Amino acid sequence: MMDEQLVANYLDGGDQDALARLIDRNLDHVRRIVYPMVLNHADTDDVVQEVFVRVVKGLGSFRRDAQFSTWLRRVTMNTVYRFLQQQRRRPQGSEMVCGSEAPCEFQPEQAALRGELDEAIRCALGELSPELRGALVMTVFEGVAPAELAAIEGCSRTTVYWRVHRARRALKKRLQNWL
Amino acid sequence: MTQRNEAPLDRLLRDWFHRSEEHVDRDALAERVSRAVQEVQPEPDPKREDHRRRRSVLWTIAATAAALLLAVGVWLARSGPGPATIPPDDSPAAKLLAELDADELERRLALLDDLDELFEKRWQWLVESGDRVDVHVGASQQPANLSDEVAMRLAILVRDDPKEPFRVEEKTFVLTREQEAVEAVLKNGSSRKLYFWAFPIDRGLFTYDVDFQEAAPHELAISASGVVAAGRPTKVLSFEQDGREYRVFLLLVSGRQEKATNETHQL
Repeated sequence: MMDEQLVANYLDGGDQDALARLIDRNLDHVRRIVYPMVLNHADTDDVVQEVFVRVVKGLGSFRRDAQFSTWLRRVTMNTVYRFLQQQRRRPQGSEMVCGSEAPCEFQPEQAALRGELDEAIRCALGELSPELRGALVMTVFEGVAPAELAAIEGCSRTTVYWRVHRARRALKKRLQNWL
Repeated sequence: MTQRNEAPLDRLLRDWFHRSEEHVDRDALAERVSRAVQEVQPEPDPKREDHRRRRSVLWTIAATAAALLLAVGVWLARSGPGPATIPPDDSPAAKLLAELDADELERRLALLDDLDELFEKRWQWLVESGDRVDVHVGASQQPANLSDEVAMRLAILVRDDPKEPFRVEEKTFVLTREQEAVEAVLKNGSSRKLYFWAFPIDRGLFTYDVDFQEAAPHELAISASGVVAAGRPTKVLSFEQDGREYRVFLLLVSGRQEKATNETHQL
């Protein structure tokens, strides 16, 4: 059954199973966008939960002839951007800092090089602006086409190309030792 | 969008993501999300509710709207194509910039011939900020079918007190070609950076992307993208930071228009 049909079943008949299936089949997609954006597992879980709460609240305004996946990605990105904005406003010390999370994710016996690479990637992504990071995440992790991403972000397709280009260039420079 | 030389980077990123997922408890997250959404109900679409409420009113004013549309149609037909889709900014700050910049920018387009001659058409962009001018020159001569030139002025206005007028804190001039990505370090030590890119869309409109970063004396990171009408100073950002109010204006002038004007004069 398509996502759009599950939405219809939930909205029209109050089918809770349809909602559960909708969430389950999209949970990984949302997480795949959120984690590379917020770069922290605890915050990722909070943001993912917030995304689905917003989705359910907002289903009443979902156009039935639209693609659910595009709408979900838009809600996800808006939630992420809002979170990052709030994070920037927090007092210093509570922001995501390189090195603050990675060590607890790796067991001592894991290769030091891999830990170093993972930390470098996390830092490199963290140094990109949210817009550049968002463009890269959506294209690399979700395979979103430039036209769809332009619609999600509310910008031109050329701006999407440009953001992805700049994000890639910055990451290549930052990660050149591993490429 | 993915090209062959981008595959290693994409692979690196995807592998990193998969490793990061190794210790994630998906079931716990799914359960947590399910619990959270159980307490939530879909909210009625405010637009649709509002639409229903206003429907009767809309019918009442439909005739007026139709007449208005007709009048606008006649006006558009008479005025012809032009950069009329974005209204000009009439704020005092915008007027100040318009006086400073509109003529100045066009005068600077006269630099084009000099640049072509000096650098044998190998120049890619010129950036002027304060008393520093940077010209980026390509390794080989540009192809004959170069894209048109575009001049840009980025101005950052600031005031510390709401009772004071805005003053121009930063003015940066860029001369480049449409679609050419400008990436300039405006001070030694990378303390001030500018990224700029513009692309003409239609009817004198440009889509643009601009980033400006400054480390000192005030840390500032500006990022804006959108659409502006050529020849009109447009406020692209307005924000407050560290007790200071900022206004960011962008003005784009197409080199193509200027060259067309010159040719007309010669005729």
